[in-house]
Amino acid sequence: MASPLPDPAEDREPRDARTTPPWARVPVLLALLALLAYEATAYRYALYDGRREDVPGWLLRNPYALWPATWQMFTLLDKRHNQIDAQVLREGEWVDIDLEAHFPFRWESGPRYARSSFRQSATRMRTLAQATCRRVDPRPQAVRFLHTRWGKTLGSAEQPREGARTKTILEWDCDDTFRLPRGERI
Amino acid sequence: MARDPERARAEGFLGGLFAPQWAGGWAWYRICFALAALLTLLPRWAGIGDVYGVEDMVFSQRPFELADTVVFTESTMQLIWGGGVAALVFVLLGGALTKPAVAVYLACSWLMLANEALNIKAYDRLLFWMALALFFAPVSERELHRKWRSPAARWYLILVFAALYGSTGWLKVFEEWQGWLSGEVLAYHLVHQFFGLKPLGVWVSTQAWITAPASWVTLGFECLFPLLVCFRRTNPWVLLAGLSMHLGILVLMNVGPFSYVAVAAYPALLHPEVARSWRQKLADAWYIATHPEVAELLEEAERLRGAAGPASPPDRGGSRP
Repeated sequence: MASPLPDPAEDREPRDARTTPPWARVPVLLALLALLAYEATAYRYALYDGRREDVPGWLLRNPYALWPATWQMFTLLDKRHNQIDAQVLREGEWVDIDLEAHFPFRWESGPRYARSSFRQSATRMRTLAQATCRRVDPRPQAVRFLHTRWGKTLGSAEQPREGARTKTILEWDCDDTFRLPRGERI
Repeated sequence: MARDPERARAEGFLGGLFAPQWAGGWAWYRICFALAALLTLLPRWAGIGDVYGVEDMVFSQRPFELADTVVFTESTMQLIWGGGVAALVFVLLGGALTKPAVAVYLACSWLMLANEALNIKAYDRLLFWMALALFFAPVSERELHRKWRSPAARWYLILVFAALYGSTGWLKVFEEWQGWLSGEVLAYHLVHQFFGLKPLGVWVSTQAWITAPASWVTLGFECLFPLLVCFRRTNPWVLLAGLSMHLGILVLMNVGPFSYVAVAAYPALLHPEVARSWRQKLADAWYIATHPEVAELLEEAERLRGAAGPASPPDRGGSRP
Protein backbone atom coordinates (compact mmCIF):
# COMPACT_ATOMS: atom_id res chain seq x y z
CA MET A 1 0.00 0.00 0.00
CA ALA A 2 1.29 3.44 -0.83
CA SER A 3 2.27 5.63 2.09
CA PRO A 4 -0.66 7.76 3.34
CA LEU A 5 1.72 10.51 4.43
CA PRO A 6 3.75 12.97 2.41
CA ASP A 7 7.37 12.14 1.80
CA PRO A 8 9.31 15.19 2.97
CA ALA A 9 11.99 14.50 0.39
CA GLU A 10 9.38 14.50 -2.41
CA ASP A 11 8.28 17.99 -1.43
CA ARG A 12 11.68 19.47 -2.11
CA GLU A 13 12.07 20.62 -5.68
CA PRO A 14 14.49 20.22 -7.24
CA ARG A 15 15.73 17.13 -5.42
CA ASP A 16 19.09 17.41 -3.74
CA ALA A 17 20.76 14.90 -6.05
CA ARG A 18 24.42 14.88 -6.98
CA THR A 19 26.76 12.24 -8.31
CA THR A 20 30.28 11.62 -9.55
CA PRO A 21 31.11 14.30 -12.15
CA PRO A 22 31.39 12.98 -15.74
CA TRP A 23 35.16 13.54 -15.93
CA ALA A 24 35.74 11.28 -12.89
CA ARG A 25 33.50 8.39 -13.92
CA VAL A 26 35.98 6.50 -16.08
CA PRO A 27 38.79 6.73 -13.48
CA VAL A 28 36.38 5.57 -10.74
CA LEU A 29 35.18 2.69 -12.90
CA LEU A 30 38.77 1.68 -13.64
CA ALA A 31 39.59 1.81 -9.92
CA LEU A 32 36.61 -0.45 -9.16
CA LEU A 33 37.71 -2.88 -11.89
CA ALA A 34 41.26 -2.88 -10.48
CA LEU A 35 39.81 -3.72 -7.05
CA LEU A 36 37.79 -6.54 -8.63
CA ALA A 37 40.93 -7.93 -10.30
CA TYR A 38 42.84 -7.73 -7.01
CA GLU A 39 40.07 -9.50 -5.10
CA ALA A 40 39.87 -12.23 -7.77
CA THR A 41 43.63 -12.80 -7.60
CA ALA A 42 43.47 -12.95 -3.80
CA TYR A 43 40.72 -15.58 -4.06
CA ARG A 44 42.81 -17.59 -6.54
CA TYR A 45 45.69 -17.92 -4.07
CA ALA A 46 43.74 -17.77 -0.81
CA LEU A 47 44.79 -21.27 0.29
CA TYR A 48 48.34 -20.94 -1.01
CA ASP A 49 50.64 -22.50 1.56
CA GLY A 50 54.03 -21.76 -0.01
CA ARG A 51 54.38 -25.29 -1.31
CA ARG A 52 52.17 -25.25 -4.36
CA GLU A 53 53.93 -25.45 -7.66
CA ASP A 54 51.54 -23.14 -9.46
CA VAL A 55 52.31 -20.09 -7.35
CA PRO A 56 53.78 -17.27 -9.44
CA GLY A 57 57.21 -15.88 -8.64
CA TRP A 58 55.94 -12.42 -7.68
CA LEU A 59 53.76 -13.94 -4.97
CA LEU A 60 56.64 -16.01 -3.61
CA ARG A 61 58.74 -12.84 -3.42
CA ASN A 62 55.88 -10.85 -1.84
CA PRO A 63 53.85 -13.34 0.20
CA TYR A 64 51.77 -10.59 1.83
CA ALA A 65 50.76 -8.90 -1.42
CA LEU A 66 47.30 -10.49 -1.38
CA TRP A 67 46.88 -10.81 2.37
CA PRO A 68 44.56 -7.78 2.84
CA ALA A 69 41.90 -9.41 0.66
CA THR A 70 42.43 -13.06 1.48
CA TRP A 71 39.42 -14.53 3.24
CA GLN A 72 39.47 -18.23 4.04
CA MET A 73 37.85 -18.34 7.46
CA PHE A 74 36.80 -21.79 8.75
CA THR A 75 37.01 -23.29 5.28
CA LEU A 76 38.84 -26.54 5.93
CA LEU A 77 38.03 -29.53 8.12
CA ASP A 78 40.13 -29.51 11.28
CA LYS A 79 39.67 -32.47 13.60
CA ARG A 80 42.52 -31.80 16.00
CA HIS A 81 43.34 -29.43 18.83
CA ASN A 82 46.73 -27.76 19.20
CA GLN A 83 48.01 -26.47 22.49
CA ILE A 84 51.25 -24.85 23.59
CA ASP A 85 52.35 -25.45 27.17
CA ALA A 86 55.50 -24.35 28.93
CA GLN A 87 57.80 -25.79 31.55
CA VAL A 88 60.65 -24.11 33.38
CA LEU A 89 63.81 -25.70 34.72
CA ARG A 90 64.39 -25.18 38.42
CA GLU A 91 67.04 -27.05 40.42
CA GLY A 92 67.39 -29.61 37.67
CA GLU A 93 63.65 -30.34 37.41
CA TRP A 94 61.14 -29.35 34.73
CA VAL A 95 58.08 -27.72 36.29
CA ASP A 96 54.82 -26.84 34.52
CA ILE A 97 53.89 -23.17 34.45
CA ASP A 98 50.65 -21.47 33.48
CA LEU A 99 51.72 -19.60 30.37
CA GLU A 100 48.47 -17.62 30.21
CA ALA A 101 49.09 -16.25 33.71
CA HIS A 102 52.27 -14.63 32.41
CA PHE A 103 50.81 -13.57 29.03
CA PRO A 104 47.21 -12.85 30.04
CA PHE A 105 45.79 -11.07 27.01
CA ARG A 106 43.99 -13.41 24.67
CA TRP A 107 42.06 -13.05 21.48
CA GLU A 108 39.00 -15.06 20.63
CA SER A 109 41.48 -17.27 18.75
CA GLY A 110 43.24 -17.92 22.03
CA PRO A 111 46.53 -16.61 23.39
CA ARG A 112 48.63 -14.89 20.77
CA TYR A 113 51.24 -17.70 20.84
CA ALA A 114 48.59 -20.36 20.15
CA ARG A 115 48.41 -19.79 16.43
CA SER A 116 50.24 -22.17 14.14
CA SER A 117 52.00 -19.28 12.38
CA PHE A 118 53.51 -18.33 15.74
CA ARG A 119 54.45 -21.88 16.67
CA GLN A 120 56.11 -22.48 13.32
CA SER A 121 58.24 -19.33 13.50
CA ALA A 122 61.62 -19.77 15.20
CA THR A 123 61.95 -16.02 15.69
CA ARG A 124 58.61 -15.74 17.45
CA MET A 125 59.18 -18.78 19.65
CA ARG A 126 62.62 -17.50 20.74
CA THR A 127 61.09 -14.13 21.54
CA LEU A 128 58.43 -15.89 23.62
CA ALA A 129 61.09 -17.97 25.37
CA GLN A 130 63.17 -14.93 26.27
CA ALA A 131 60.06 -13.08 27.50
CA THR A 132 59.02 -16.10 29.58
CA CYS A 133 62.45 -16.18 31.26
CA ARG A 134 61.97 -12.48 32.03
CA ARG A 135 58.39 -12.69 33.31
CA VAL A 136 58.58 -15.83 35.45
CA ASP A 137 59.61 -15.11 39.02
CA PRO A 138 62.04 -16.35 40.28
CA ARG A 139 63.93 -16.41 37.03
CA PRO A 140 64.31 -20.01 35.85
CA GLN A 141 67.41 -21.64 34.42
CA ALA A 142 65.68 -22.65 31.21
CA VAL A 143 62.29 -22.84 29.57
CA ARG A 144 60.83 -25.28 27.10
CA PHE A 145 57.65 -25.31 25.07
CA LEU A 146 55.56 -28.36 24.37
CA HIS A 147 53.18 -28.74 21.48
CA THR A 148 50.33 -31.15 22.15
CA ARG A 149 47.91 -32.41 19.52
CA TRP A 150 44.82 -34.45 20.18
CA GLY A 151 41.53 -35.24 18.54
CA LYS A 152 38.42 -33.10 19.00
CA THR A 153 35.44 -34.77 20.64
CA LEU A 154 32.05 -33.74 19.29
CA GLY A 155 29.40 -33.00 21.90
CA SER A 156 31.85 -32.63 24.77
CA ALA A 157 32.78 -29.44 26.57
CA GLU A 158 35.70 -31.15 28.28
CA GLN A 159 37.67 -32.21 25.19
CA PRO A 160 39.60 -35.05 26.89
CA ARG A 161 43.19 -35.41 25.71
CA GLU A 162 42.81 -38.97 24.48
CA GLY A 163 45.64 -40.16 22.25
CA ALA A 164 47.46 -36.85 22.76
CA ARG A 165 50.89 -36.53 21.17
CA THR A 166 53.32 -34.09 22.71
CA LYS A 167 56.65 -32.92 21.38
CA THR A 168 59.13 -30.29 22.50
CA ILE A 169 59.34 -27.50 19.99
CA LEU A 170 61.91 -25.30 21.71
CA GLU A 171 64.21 -25.55 24.70
CA TRP A 172 65.80 -22.25 25.70
CA ASP A 173 68.56 -21.48 28.16
CA CYS A 174 67.61 -18.31 30.01
CA ASP A 175 71.24 -17.15 29.94
CA ASP A 176 71.07 -17.01 26.16
CA THR A 177 70.04 -13.75 24.56
CA PHE A 178 68.01 -13.19 21.48
CA ARG A 179 68.20 -9.83 19.76
CA LEU A 180 64.86 -8.07 19.54
CA PRO A 181 64.08 -5.38 16.97
CA ARG A 182 65.92 -2.24 17.98
CA GLY A 183 63.70 0.60 16.96
CA GLU A 184 63.85 3.80 18.94
CA ARG A 185 61.61 3.65 22.00
CA ILE A 186 59.17 6.51 22.06
CA MET B 1 19.00 1.59 -9.15
CA ALA B 2 18.77 4.77 -11.19
CA ARG B 3 16.06 7.05 -9.92
CA ASP B 4 15.13 8.16 -13.40
CA PRO B 5 15.61 5.25 -15.81
CA GLU B 6 14.80 7.23 -18.94
CA ARG B 7 17.31 9.88 -18.13
CA ALA B 8 19.85 7.23 -17.17
CA ARG B 9 19.39 5.52 -20.53
CA ALA B 10 19.89 8.82 -22.26
CA GLU B 11 23.17 9.27 -20.41
CA GLY B 12 24.43 5.83 -21.48
CA PHE B 13 26.15 3.10 -19.49
CA LEU B 14 28.21 5.42 -17.29
CA GLY B 15 25.19 7.64 -16.66
CA GLY B 16 23.20 4.64 -15.45
CA LEU B 17 26.07 3.30 -13.37
CA PHE B 18 26.57 6.63 -11.62
CA ALA B 19 22.91 7.68 -11.35
CA PRO B 20 22.40 9.16 -7.86
CA GLN B 21 21.01 6.84 -5.19
CA TRP B 22 19.18 7.63 -1.99
CA ALA B 23 21.90 8.37 0.58
CA GLY B 24 20.08 7.75 3.88
CA GLY B 25 21.74 4.35 4.34
CA TRP B 26 25.14 6.01 4.69
CA ALA B 27 24.08 7.79 7.89
CA TRP B 28 23.30 4.40 9.46
CA TYR B 29 26.47 2.89 8.02
CA ARG B 30 28.56 5.62 9.66
CA ILE B 31 26.94 5.02 13.06
CA CYS B 32 27.12 1.22 12.84
CA PHE B 33 30.73 1.36 11.65
CA ALA B 34 31.75 3.62 14.54
CA LEU B 35 30.02 1.39 17.11
CA ALA B 36 31.52 -1.82 15.68
CA ALA B 37 34.98 -0.25 15.55
CA LEU B 38 34.59 0.98 19.14
CA LEU B 39 33.60 -2.51 20.28
CA THR B 40 36.78 -3.76 18.62
CA LEU B 41 39.11 -1.06 19.92
CA LEU B 42 37.87 -0.57 23.50
CA PRO B 43 38.79 -4.08 24.79
CA ARG B 44 42.33 -3.61 23.48
CA TRP B 45 43.00 -1.34 26.42
CA ALA B 46 43.44 -4.52 28.45
CA GLY B 47 46.25 -5.61 26.14
CA ILE B 48 48.39 -2.51 26.69
CA GLY B 49 51.38 -3.63 28.72
CA ASP B 50 51.05 -7.25 27.67
CA VAL B 51 50.59 -7.14 23.90
CA TYR B 52 50.93 -3.46 22.99
CA GLY B 53 53.71 -1.24 24.26
CA VAL B 54 55.76 -4.06 25.78
CA GLU B 55 59.51 -4.43 26.01
CA ASP B 56 59.92 -8.17 25.76
CA MET B 57 57.47 -9.29 23.07
CA VAL B 58 58.52 -7.08 20.21
CA PHE B 59 58.26 -8.43 16.70
CA SER B 60 59.32 -7.20 13.34
CA GLN B 61 58.16 -9.45 10.59
CA ARG B 62 56.77 -8.82 7.19
CA PRO B 63 54.56 -7.03 6.46
CA PHE B 64 54.96 -5.19 9.78
CA GLU B 65 58.54 -4.04 10.33
CA LEU B 66 57.68 -0.94 12.33
CA ALA B 67 59.66 -2.15 15.35
CA ASP B 68 62.91 -1.81 13.38
CA THR B 69 62.25 1.94 13.38
CA VAL B 70 60.22 2.66 16.51
CA VAL B 71 59.03 0.66 19.48
CA PHE B 72 56.17 2.22 21.42
CA THR B 73 56.22 2.44 25.19
CA GLU B 74 53.17 1.67 27.27
CA SER B 75 52.27 5.34 27.74
CA THR B 76 52.62 6.11 24.02
CA MET B 77 50.40 3.18 23.27
CA GLN B 78 47.80 4.50 25.71
CA LEU B 79 47.84 7.80 23.82
CA ILE B 80 47.47 6.04 20.48
CA TRP B 81 44.59 3.96 21.82
CA GLY B 82 42.94 7.11 23.20
CA GLY B 83 43.38 8.86 19.86
CA GLY B 84 41.64 6.01 18.09
CA VAL B 85 38.72 6.01 20.53
CA ALA B 86 38.34 9.80 20.34
CA ALA B 87 38.39 9.66 16.54
CA LEU B 88 35.61 7.08 16.57
CA VAL B 89 33.51 9.30 18.81
CA PHE B 90 33.83 12.03 16.16
CA VAL B 91 32.83 9.52 13.46
CA LEU B 92 29.82 8.64 15.58
CA LEU B 93 28.84 12.30 15.89
CA GLY B 94 29.19 12.92 12.14
CA GLY B 95 29.59 16.28 10.46
CA ALA B 96 32.53 17.99 8.81
CA LEU B 97 35.15 16.21 10.94
CA THR B 98 34.00 12.71 10.02
CA LYS B 99 36.52 11.97 7.29
CA PRO B 100 39.55 13.41 9.12
CA ALA B 101 38.41 11.38 12.13
CA VAL B 102 38.30 8.21 10.02
CA ALA B 103 41.89 8.92 8.92
CA VAL B 104 42.98 9.37 12.57
CA TYR B 105 41.18 6.17 13.59
CA LEU B 106 42.88 4.23 10.79
CA ALA B 107 46.29 5.61 11.73
CA CYS B 108 45.84 4.79 15.44
CA SER B 109 44.35 1.35 15.00
CA TRP B 110 46.98 0.27 12.47
CA LEU B 111 49.79 1.66 14.60
CA MET B 112 48.53 -0.67 17.33
CA LEU B 113 48.32 -3.60 14.94
CA ALA B 114 51.75 -2.83 13.44
CA ASN B 115 53.14 -2.60 16.95
CA GLU B 116 51.78 -6.02 17.81
CA ALA B 117 52.85 -7.36 14.38
CA LEU B 118 50.95 -10.57 15.01
CA ASN B 119 47.50 -12.04 14.71
CA ILE B 120 45.89 -9.33 12.57
CA LYS B 121 42.29 -10.47 12.60
CA ALA B 122 39.95 -10.79 9.65
CA TYR B 123 37.71 -8.14 11.22
CA ASP B 124 40.68 -5.76 11.47
CA ARG B 125 41.19 -6.07 7.74
CA LEU B 126 37.46 -5.81 7.12
CA LEU B 127 37.27 -2.64 9.22
CA PHE B 128 40.08 -1.21 7.10
CA TRP B 129 38.17 -1.88 3.87
CA MET B 130 34.99 -0.52 5.40
CA ALA B 131 36.76 2.62 6.61
CA LEU B 132 37.95 3.31 3.07
CA ALA B 133 34.31 3.40 1.96
CA LEU B 134 33.72 6.28 4.37
CA PHE B 135 36.18 8.45 2.43
CA PHE B 136 34.09 8.14 -0.74
CA ALA B 137 30.64 8.16 0.84
CA PRO B 138 28.68 11.33 1.68
CA VAL B 139 29.04 10.73 5.42
CA SER B 140 30.09 14.29 6.29
CA GLU B 141 26.69 15.63 5.26
CA ARG B 142 23.62 16.02 7.45
CA GLU B 143 20.01 15.20 6.48
CA LEU B 144 21.14 12.38 4.21
CA HIS B 145 17.63 10.94 4.18
CA ARG B 146 16.66 13.90 1.98
CA LYS B 147 19.55 13.47 -0.45
CA TRP B 148 20.64 11.38 -3.40
CA ARG B 149 24.36 10.92 -3.97
CA SER B 150 26.87 9.02 -6.12
CA PRO B 151 26.62 5.23 -5.79
CA ALA B 152 30.40 4.77 -6.26
CA ALA B 153 31.06 4.08 -2.56
CA ARG B 154 28.26 1.51 -2.52
CA TRP B 155 29.65 -0.25 -5.60
CA TYR B 156 32.99 -0.37 -3.80
CA LEU B 157 31.41 -1.85 -0.66
CA ILE B 158 29.51 -4.44 -2.70
CA LEU B 159 32.79 -5.52 -4.32
CA VAL B 160 34.48 -5.87 -0.93
CA PHE B 161 31.65 -7.94 0.55
CA ALA B 162 31.15 -9.99 -2.62
CA ALA B 163 34.82 -10.93 -2.35
CA LEU B 164 34.55 -11.63 1.38
CA TYR B 165 31.49 -13.87 1.22
CA GLY B 166 32.01 -15.18 -2.30
CA SER B 167 35.59 -16.29 -1.76
CA THR B 168 34.86 -18.03 1.57
CA GLY B 169 31.83 -19.76 0.02
CA TRP B 170 33.49 -20.92 -3.18
CA LEU B 171 36.64 -22.06 -1.35
CA LYS B 172 34.39 -24.25 0.79
CA VAL B 173 32.78 -25.67 -2.36
CA PHE B 174 36.03 -26.36 -4.20
CA GLU B 175 38.26 -27.43 -1.32
CA GLU B 176 36.03 -29.13 1.23
CA TRP B 177 32.61 -29.70 -0.33
CA GLN B 178 32.01 -33.15 1.16
CA GLY B 179 32.65 -31.98 4.69
CA TRP B 180 30.39 -28.97 4.22
CA LEU B 181 27.67 -31.03 2.59
CA SER B 182 27.56 -33.41 5.55
CA GLY B 183 27.89 -30.60 8.13
CA GLU B 184 31.04 -32.25 9.53
CA VAL B 185 33.29 -29.18 9.05
CA LEU B 186 30.88 -26.95 10.94
CA ALA B 187 30.46 -29.55 13.71
CA TYR B 188 34.23 -29.68 14.35
CA HIS B 189 34.55 -25.90 14.29
CA LEU B 190 31.90 -25.73 17.01
CA VAL B 191 34.21 -27.62 19.38
CA HIS B 192 37.35 -25.65 18.54
CA GLN B 193 39.07 -24.99 21.86
CA PHE B 194 39.05 -21.20 21.38
CA PHE B 195 36.54 -20.35 18.64
CA GLY B 196 33.99 -22.88 19.83
CA LEU B 197 32.97 -24.77 22.97
CA LYS B 198 29.97 -22.57 23.73
CA PRO B 199 27.39 -24.74 25.53
CA LEU B 200 24.82 -24.55 22.73
CA GLY B 201 27.49 -25.07 20.07
CA VAL B 202 28.79 -28.18 21.85
CA TRP B 203 25.29 -29.64 21.79
CA VAL B 204 24.69 -28.67 18.15
CA SER B 205 27.99 -30.31 17.11
CA THR B 206 26.39 -33.75 17.49
CA GLN B 207 23.10 -32.80 15.81
CA ALA B 208 23.63 -33.51 12.13
CA TRP B 209 20.03 -32.49 11.41
CA ILE B 210 21.10 -28.96 12.40
CA THR B 211 24.72 -28.78 11.22
CA ALA B 212 24.00 -30.13 7.73
CA PRO B 213 21.18 -27.68 6.81
CA ALA B 214 23.06 -24.84 8.52
CA SER B 215 26.07 -25.65 6.35
CA TRP B 216 23.94 -25.69 3.19
CA VAL B 217 22.43 -22.31 4.08
CA THR B 218 25.91 -20.91 4.75
CA LEU B 219 27.21 -22.21 1.43
CA GLY B 220 24.17 -20.95 -0.46
CA PHE B 221 24.37 -17.53 1.12
CA GLU B 222 28.11 -17.08 0.67
CA CYS B 223 28.28 -18.39 -2.89
CA LEU B 224 25.24 -16.50 -4.17
CA PHE B 225 25.79 -13.24 -2.29
CA PRO B 226 27.85 -11.58 -5.07
CA LEU B 227 24.95 -12.10 -7.48
CA LEU B 228 21.88 -11.65 -5.30
CA VAL B 229 23.03 -8.48 -3.57
CA CYS B 230 22.89 -6.64 -6.89
CA PHE B 231 19.17 -7.03 -7.57
CA ARG B 232 16.53 -5.02 -5.78
CA ARG B 233 14.15 -7.96 -5.43
CA THR B 234 16.73 -10.35 -3.90
CA ASN B 235 18.88 -7.79 -2.07
CA PRO B 236 16.92 -7.60 1.22
CA TRP B 237 16.49 -11.38 1.36
CA VAL B 238 20.18 -12.13 0.90
CA LEU B 239 21.02 -9.58 3.61
CA LEU B 240 18.43 -11.18 5.88
CA ALA B 241 20.16 -14.53 5.30
CA GLY B 242 23.49 -12.88 6.14
CA LEU B 243 22.04 -11.42 9.30
CA SER B 244 20.80 -14.87 10.34
CA MET B 245 24.20 -16.43 9.61
CA HIS B 246 26.05 -13.84 11.65
CA LEU B 247 23.54 -14.18 14.47
CA GLY B 248 24.11 -17.95 14.41
CA ILE B 249 27.87 -17.42 14.56
CA LEU B 250 27.44 -14.99 17.45
CA VAL B 251 25.35 -17.49 19.42
CA LEU B 252 27.37 -20.64 18.64
CA MET B 253 30.97 -19.46 18.35
CA ASN B 254 33.54 -17.03 19.74
CA VAL B 255 34.71 -14.98 16.81
CA GLY B 256 35.00 -11.69 18.63
CA PRO B 257 33.52 -8.66 16.94
CA PHE B 258 33.50 -10.22 13.46
CA SER B 259 29.73 -10.63 13.32
CA TYR B 260 28.86 -7.06 14.20
CA VAL B 261 31.67 -5.61 12.09
CA ALA B 262 30.28 -7.40 9.05
CA VAL B 263 26.66 -6.54 9.82
CA ALA B 264 27.61 -2.87 10.32
CA ALA B 265 27.95 -2.59 6.54
CA TYR B 266 24.43 -3.82 5.84
CA PRO B 267 22.69 -0.41 5.93
CA ALA B 268 24.81 0.67 2.96
CA LEU B 269 24.54 -2.71 1.23
CA LEU B 270 20.75 -2.64 1.45
CA HIS B 271 19.24 -1.47 -1.82
CA PRO B 272 18.76 2.31 -1.42
CA GLU B 273 15.17 2.33 -2.66
CA VAL B 274 14.23 -0.56 -0.37
CA ALA B 275 15.89 1.25 2.51
CA ARG B 276 14.05 4.46 1.63
CA SER B 277 10.67 2.73 1.52
CA TRP B 278 11.33 1.03 4.87
CA ARG B 279 12.37 4.33 6.38
CA GLN B 280 9.25 5.99 5.03
CA LYS B 281 7.03 3.29 6.55
CA LEU B 282 8.75 3.64 9.91
CA ALA B 283 8.47 7.44 9.74
CA ASP B 284 4.75 7.12 8.89
CA ALA B 285 4.13 4.75 11.78
CA TRP B 286 5.98 7.07 14.15
CA TYR B 287 4.09 10.13 12.86
CA ILE B 288 0.72 8.45 13.28
CA ALA B 289 1.64 7.16 16.74
CA THR B 290 2.66 10.62 17.91
CA HIS B 291 -0.23 12.51 16.22
CA PRO B 292 -3.56 11.01 17.36
CA GLU B 293 -5.54 13.49 15.23
CA VAL B 294 -3.89 12.07 12.08
CA ALA B 295 -4.80 8.56 13.14
CA GLU B 296 -8.42 9.69 13.57
CA LEU B 297 -8.45 11.30 10.11
CA LEU B 298 -7.03 8.14 8.55
CA GLU B 299 -9.67 6.04 10.32
CA GLU B 300 -12.36 8.40 9.06
CA ALA B 301 -11.02 8.17 5.51
CA GLU B 302 -10.98 4.38 5.76
CA ARG B 303 -14.59 4.38 7.06
CA LEU B 304 -15.76 6.62 4.19
CA ARG B 305 -14.00 4.40 1.68
CA GLY B 306 -15.76 1.37 3.17
CA ALA B 307 -19.13 3.17 3.05
CA ALA B 308 -18.63 3.96 -0.64
CA GLY B 309 -18.75 0.22 -1.34
CA PRO B 310 -16.62 -2.19 -3.35
CA ALA B 311 -17.12 -0.30 -6.63
CA SER B 312 -15.15 2.67 -5.37
CA PRO B 313 -11.90 3.39 -7.23
CA PRO B 314 -8.77 1.86 -5.70
CA ASP B 315 -6.60 3.94 -3.41
CA ARG B 316 -3.65 5.39 -5.29
CA GLY B 317 -1.90 6.44 -2.14
CA GLY B 318 -3.04 10.02 -2.43
CA SER B 319 -4.84 10.42 0.86
CA ARG B 320 -3.03 12.88 3.06
CA PRO B 321 -3.87 14.21 6.45
